[in-house]
This record gives sequence, structure tokens and C-alpha cells, in this order.
Amino acid sequence: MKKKDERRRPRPPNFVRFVLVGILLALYIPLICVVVGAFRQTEGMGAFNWFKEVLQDETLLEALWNSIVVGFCASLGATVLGAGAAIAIHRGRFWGRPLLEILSYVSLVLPEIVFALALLSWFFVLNVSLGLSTVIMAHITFSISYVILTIGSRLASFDPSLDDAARDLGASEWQVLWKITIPILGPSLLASFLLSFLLSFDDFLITFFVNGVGSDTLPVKLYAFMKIGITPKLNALATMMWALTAVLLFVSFRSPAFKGTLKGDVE
Amino acid sequence: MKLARWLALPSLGWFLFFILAPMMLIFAISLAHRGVYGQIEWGFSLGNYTSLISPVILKIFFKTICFAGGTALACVSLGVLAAWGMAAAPKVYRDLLLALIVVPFLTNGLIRILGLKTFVSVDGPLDMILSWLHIPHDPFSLSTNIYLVGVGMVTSYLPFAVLPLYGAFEKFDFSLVEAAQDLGARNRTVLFRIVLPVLWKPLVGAAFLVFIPCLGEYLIPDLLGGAKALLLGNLITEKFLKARDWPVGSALAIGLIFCLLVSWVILSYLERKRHEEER
Amino acid sequence: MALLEIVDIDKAVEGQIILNKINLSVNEGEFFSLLGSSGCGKTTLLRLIAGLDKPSSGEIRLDNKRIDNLPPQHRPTKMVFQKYALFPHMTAIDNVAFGLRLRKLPEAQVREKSMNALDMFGLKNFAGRKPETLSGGQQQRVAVARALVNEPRVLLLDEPLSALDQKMREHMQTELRALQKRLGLTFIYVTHDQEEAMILSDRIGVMNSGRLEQVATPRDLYDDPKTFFVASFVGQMTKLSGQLDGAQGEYFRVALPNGEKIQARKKSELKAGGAIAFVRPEKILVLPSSSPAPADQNVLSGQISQIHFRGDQTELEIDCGLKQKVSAYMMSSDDNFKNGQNVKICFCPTETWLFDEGAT
Repeated sequence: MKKKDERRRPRPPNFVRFVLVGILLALYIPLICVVVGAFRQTEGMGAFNWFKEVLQDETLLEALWNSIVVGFCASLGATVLGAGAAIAIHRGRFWGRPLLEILSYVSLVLPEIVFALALLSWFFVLNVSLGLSTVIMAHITFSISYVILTIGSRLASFDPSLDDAARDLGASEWQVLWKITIPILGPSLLASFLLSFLLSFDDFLITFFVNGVGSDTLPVKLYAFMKIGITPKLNALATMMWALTAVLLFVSFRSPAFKGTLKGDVE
Repeated sequence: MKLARWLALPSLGWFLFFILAPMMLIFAISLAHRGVYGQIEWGFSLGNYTSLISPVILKIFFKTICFAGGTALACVSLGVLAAWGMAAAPKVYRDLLLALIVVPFLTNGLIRILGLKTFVSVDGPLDMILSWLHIPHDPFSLSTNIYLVGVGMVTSYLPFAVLPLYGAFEKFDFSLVEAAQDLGARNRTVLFRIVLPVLWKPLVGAAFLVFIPCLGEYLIPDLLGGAKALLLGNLITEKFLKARDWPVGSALAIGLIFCLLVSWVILSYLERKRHEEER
Repeated sequence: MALLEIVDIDKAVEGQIILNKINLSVNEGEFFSLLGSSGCGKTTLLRLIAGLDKPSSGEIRLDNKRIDNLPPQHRPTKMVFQKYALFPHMTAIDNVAFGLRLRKLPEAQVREKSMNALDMFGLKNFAGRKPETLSGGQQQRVAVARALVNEPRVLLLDEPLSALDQKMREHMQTELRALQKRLGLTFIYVTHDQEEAMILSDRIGVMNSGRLEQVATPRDLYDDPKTFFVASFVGQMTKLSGQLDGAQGEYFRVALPNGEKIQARKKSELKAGGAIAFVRPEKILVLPSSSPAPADQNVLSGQISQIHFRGDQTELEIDCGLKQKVSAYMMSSDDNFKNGQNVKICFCPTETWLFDEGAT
């Protein structure tokens, strides 16, 4: 059927092509400006001068460390919680299942700012001091739904007779989970982890609301600097951040599991 | 599966604790009162809500809805054309185009905004181009203005619209178009009678995918709009983090949610009406 | 020597009845097939025996002990699944060893038993391969090995050959039958292919819409069907519908729409009015119309409308002025007939069976 499809796609009128090219330009020109701006030379200094400055800036390095720690912990938490939820939703009937599905949907649809201030108020009322831990908790919360979606779509194409075969051969439900379900879900779990990490690494608004003194992540620092003014150093910082996410994306696109999951998301 | 409830319990508990409870708290705060030193004085008063019905705040609501709606419209219109172009491209290019759209989508919003700011900055590319073309302009007003906010919103949210529309185009059966053309339909008829009805649902879905986050957008108006472009997101943030007036801020947030619910209800109504028309 | 007894099993899911009062006993060392079309409940019954589902009511006993309240791991049954259900992330030998390892047997013993099981199917050299690199036939053998290595008392097979091509299927049929005889193990085999069931089985249980219609040897099912469904489902039949017109003991007169009358033997409870007479095509004798009609036989006259040459057999379609065409088989060497020829068809009343459509 795919071969038939290939022939039958009517060519769009030229202006559609122009629009597409125009859109790609509009999306990429700003990004190119960032990269080019990072190499702006002032007398006496080399092309990579700004990059060196970024790497020597202690506050930025600290923020990078915070971003990585938060990203890692939040991804771990979200993947574990989300995987459990996805498996339960797809395999079982339990009290509270519709509630879980609704809350997962709400978490996706809720505007970031509402979620951010709700959490801030909640932490305040609970007398929890703001810091990296509150940021991690917030990041876990918004990532779980994405994990549920990713793993859920993999579970939808999971052969149900595998579970039956394992039970027939003597496995308890717990053993089926550990020896069969989770190993087969492996690539999806990794994809969920990476997705959560990217979401966490790039998050600004929620982190801005719930972080404390000294627990700035990289996006928050970037914002603070942008408020003061645009400098080539900022461009260098942004370029490096972009490079980091690009590398992560490239690495994960190589793995077939991730590609399959992303295509599933698009559809 | 008996194990299911134990697997679900942690995330269910997490959601109840970190989403449901905070939301209820916001609602409670919106009914409270701001004390002299900025603390929350609990009580039950609708004062915060009535204060929302002031011309200043209503204007901001209106402005935000217009911006979000306009962005959604622009993103969907441009997005459907882009998705069409992508879906009809030769297979070799299709994956490349998809990747090209996805990369900005997964790039940090701040970086994209920085790019725009760099582009329009004093002595930046736009400034230089306009000077070279001898078009009179004020370099300083270039870098923060309301049009820039619009451009920023559209370029930020375009991938949100293009990706699902691309998915819809991939699934679209183009032989329907050919059949219609074979039966003598002109391009306009094909568009309105064949393509749009099928694509209607993904189009509306994409529009919502853009509209909802746009309503609460903070960064773009803040960094690209300067003082003049105060949208709902900025107002709420100001109330919360600067003015320390959490009750009013919460009321504003509830107002935002209210706008969302209203638009969702309108959508469901339109959807139901269209279904009835089909019968 | 009944090994497995199924007593009054009912299964209903969300108001829909899947199985209705199933009673069955399977003997030790028997190759028993459950035969029926899709949706008749045969796979559900198999799953109940395996312990993958629970019956709504009734009991399942093995060796006179109840097993329907036991989980799958405590039952001495093992199942081979339709799509093999091999674990994709494990090698062939790890698949086979899975059940043994769950029982915490010493690793050396596990490896030895698993390799022997694979060897039994000629798959020793494929032990380290993942399922996706194996052919359909090889995967199927690994699935059987995986079940057998756990030494079950009963092997349950759920349409294991349906995904294979014809040649492979025939080869595996022979292998499975030989294996079963060699091991002396009890097999319960689910299939919708009646030829397959007839070739493989000692006894067959024919199922229809959740009911067990008849349990008999292949020969008895063919020569002595007890219900309308079994008669229609097993083997070929020529059907003649008409009105009941008087009876003499077991034998009824049936008035056909074309005016002629035939005698038929009652096989199920009949209601007054319409009934359908069944005759096996090979039991219908076709004679030129000039030949004398033998006495004590049902005789109809008609015209040959089609001749299908089938190798050693030829099928003749005869138009007798009825809605249905009469199919008759004869040896090709005996066939001298031409299209359009007027003929007499004769068949014995004892071989003409009357079934009422609604009766069981």
C-alpha cells in the first residue's frame, strides 16, 4: 500500500513551496544569528573568545551543573512513575483509573504559568523551602504525562500472548513484569528518559517560579542575562546549550526505538 | 492484572498531591485577601474577582485572547500549507524536512527568542539590511515592539501546528482528490468539499494546540515586547513575584482557566453541530 | 482412563455467553482436537484448561483433582500459542529454559534439558539465535520445545500451524502426530481446519457458538453426525430441503418442491413442517435416465449442469428442478457423462439423513 501512496500525491502549487521555504527561513534565521553572534570579534581577541568566557564563568558552570542534576533526577522519577502508570492503564482495571487518565491529560493541557504558580503556592503553604528539590519535584510532575504517552504507544503494539505464555510457563505477575514486559519496553524507557531530560533541561517558566537562591538552572540564568542586554557572550552560551541538545537528539535519533516513538507521536 | 493498582498508585498519588491539591489551593487563594505586608489572609471574598472587571485588566484579557487567537490562526494557516508541502515532497526530502521542523521545536524557547533579539538588535542584521536599503527606521524601536511579539509567537508555535498537520496529511488519502478532479471538480471545490472536511478535526486540534499555551505565554511578550506588550502571563507573574498579591494573581489564573474552558465548550458545541449537520 | 474432565463449564463475559454447559473428558495419551469456526469458543475453553482465564461456573479436574482454582503455574498443563509468543528479547535456548529457570532448577540441569529439547527438534545449532532470525517453522518448534521441556501431563495447542504455509503445515502435522505418539503425551489441539483435525486426532470435539455439538472419532463424525451443524461442517454434503410428509418409525417421507418424494432417516429431533435431508455426494449414484431405477432407493431425475474434474474424483452438478443443485462424486474412470445429459440419481434412504436446523 505504501508504494501506491508514493505515486498519488498531487504536487502542490508553487506558492505552497514558497511558504514552506519561507517558514524554514523564519525558523532558522534567528538560530543562525545566535551562532554567528557568538563569533563576533572585537579587537585583539580570537573567534572563540566568548566561548572561553562562558566556560570560565563560575556562575554559569554552577547553573549547568544544576540543570544536569535536575534533569537527571527528574527524568528518573518521571520515567519510573510514568512507566508504572502506563503499564497499569494499558493492562489492568483498578480503582482510580479514569482519575489517573484525567489528571494525566490535565497535566498536559494546563498552561505552564498556572501550573507554576499553583506549585509555588503549594510549596509555600507546606512550608517547603525552595531549591533544587522543589524544581525536581515540579519537573517530574510535568514530565510524567509525556512518559505515559511514549510508553503507552509502545504498549499498544505489544503482543498480549507474550504475557500469557510467561504465565503459562509459571511466572507470577511480578515476574512477568520484570522478566518480560520491562526488558521489551527497554528502548521506550530510554526514549522517555531522554524526552524528560530535554523537557527539563529546556524548562524556564516553572523553574523560574519554584527555584530558590543559588539553585538557578541554565535557562533561568540565560533569562536573567537577557534582561540586562544582548552580548556575544550570551550568544556563545546559547550556542553551546543548543549544541548540547542537538547532540542528545542526534544520539537518540540514531536508535530505531526513539525514531519509532517520535513518528508515533507525530501521528 | 492485580499488580496494576500498585503500579498506578505512585503516579496517582503524585498527581493528586502535585496537581490536584495545588489547583484547589489556587482556587482557595483566589477567594482570600491580601494582607498589608503581602501575606495571605484567608477568608471568603469574591473581591479579587470583581477587581478583575476593571477596564485595565479586561483590556489585557482581550489583548491576550486576540494575540493567542491570531497566533493560532496564523500558525494553522501557514502550518497547513507547510505540512502540505512537506507531505507532497519526494520521500527522500520528507524525513529531512521533518527533522528540520522538529529541531526548532525541541530548541529552548529562550534561545529562539535570543535569536530574534539578535536579529533585530541595534547594529544587528535587520538594522544593517534596512540601512543598506536606505529605509528610514529607528534602530531602538526595532528591538522591542508589539509586532516583534507577534512574530515571536508565530515562529515559536509554528512547529506545534505543523507536526500534527503533517501527520494528518500523511494519513490523507490523496486518491480522493484525484477522484474529485476526475469527476470535474475545480480546485476550489476540491479544497472546500473534499480536503477541508477531512482535515477539519486535525486543523482545529492544531489550532488549540497553539491557542492554549499562547494564552499563558510569558517569555515572548516579556523579552520582545517591552513595557507596552503586557499580556496575561506577564500580569500574573508580576502579581505573584513582584507585587506579592497572590489572591489577585490566583484570581487572574482562574480567569485564564475560565477562558480555556469557554473556548473548549465552544469547540465541543461546534463539533457537535457539525456532526449533526453531517447527519 | 479419563485424564482430564471438564464438568458443566460455563463462561460468560459482560453478559455474552462464550461457553455453554461444556462437558468433556479426554483420555490419557489421546490426541484430542477441538474443532470449530472462529468465535465458537474453542480457544476460550483451551485457555480455561490452561488457567489463563477463570470459568464462570463448573469444574475442571485432572487425575480426579480440581485444577480450575489453581493458577497456571500450578497446573500440569502447558500451552503452545497461535503466534508462538516467543520472547523476542531472549535467545531460543533462553526461551526454552524460561519455565525451568522459574522453578529454580540448578543451572546445569536447566541447560542440559533445554539443549535436549531443542535437539529433539533438530534445532541444536539455533540455540543462540533470537526468534526474529528464525523461520516460521523453526519458531513453532521452539515454542513446542519450550512447552514440552517442562514435562506437562497435557499439552495444549492453539491453532499452532495456522500461520505456516501449506507445505510446512503438512510437514509439521506429521511431525506433531509422530511426536505425540512417541511421547505418549495427551494433546489437546484447537483448529478450524477439519481436514487437519481428521488427520491428527484420535477423537474430535466439534464446537459451535459455545456449545459442544458432538465428540467422536473422525470416522464416527463423518459416518454418523448427530447434529445439523456437525453434518454441515464435517465433510461435504448435498442438501435437499423439503416438507415432512408422514413417517414410518425412523424413516420419514420428505416432499421436495419439484413434486418428487424421498425417504430419509431421522438423525435429530424434528419439528413438523420443513426439514433438510443430507446425503454425502460420494453416496449418490448417477445413472443414465434410461437405466432402470433400483428398488428401495431414493430416485430423482435431472440434468447434468456442470462437470468438475478433480483428478481421481469427478464432481457432477445435477439440476433436479430444486433450488439447490445436487452434487455427486464419482471415480473419474467411471465418468462417461456429458453436460446437459438427462440422468437419474439414486441414493439409499439409510444414507439420507434428516436434521432439523434448530435442534442440537
